[in-house]
Amino acid sequence: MAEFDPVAILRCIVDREVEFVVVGGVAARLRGAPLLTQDVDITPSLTRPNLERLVAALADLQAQLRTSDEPAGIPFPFDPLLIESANVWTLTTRSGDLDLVISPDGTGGFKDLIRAADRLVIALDPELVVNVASLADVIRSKEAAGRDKDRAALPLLRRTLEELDL
Amino acid sequence: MVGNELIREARLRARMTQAELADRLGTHQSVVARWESGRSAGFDLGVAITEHNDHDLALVRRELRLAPHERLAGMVEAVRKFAEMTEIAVG
Repeated sequence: MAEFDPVAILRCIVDREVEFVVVGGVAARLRGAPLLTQDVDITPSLTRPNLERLVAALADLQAQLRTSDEPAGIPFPFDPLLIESANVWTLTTRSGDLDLVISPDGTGGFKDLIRAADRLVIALDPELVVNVASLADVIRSKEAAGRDKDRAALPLLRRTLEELDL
Repeated sequence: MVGNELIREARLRARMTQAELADRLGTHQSVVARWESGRSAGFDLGVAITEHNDHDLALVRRELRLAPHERLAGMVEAVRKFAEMTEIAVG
């Protein structure tokens, strides 16, 4: 399994000029919630040119499908139409796991999330800036998803939001 | 071996106290104690969380003092260390 390097994953996607928002656990951490996660979740814009750029980035990252039976990945021919056809793609890349979440639970996807997102510096030398979903939107999504691990994370996420609002 | 047993086994093989492990992972000893006891909700590396208590507030405040890139780097380092410990425990 590749060592998890979220900066490398996101830098590769940015280099291809893909429009996206970081969501999920990495977004929560970037917003200040002390959670641990070992995959990057992104929600891409669904315009055709953007999905074509995303497919190119996935090729650069040597992305493969990730399943519980095949965590090391299964080769898969990604294309823009295919990506749009499912809501979640769990992938493994040369720099760790990456999930494409077309429309996170409780949200309207990229157009919805980008409104409250901020551009944050997530790495230096060279600087890397990405759109990061608001903590309120991360919470909204986890509330809607309702999985055990999402519900379990909510108290800490809400506590962080309270501190940010003070 | 389930997750909480794995954590304890890894820590003991590394000859670390709960407090030392907590310090390396950027958390509190009581959090490690909860992980090892199995009382935390579904500990896995997907999302490692703690229950809501006063220690959480300290963790949150410490995290909020950091810049976003420092938060991400800290998380990656914690994940890497945890993976190393898991490998030790699995043998």
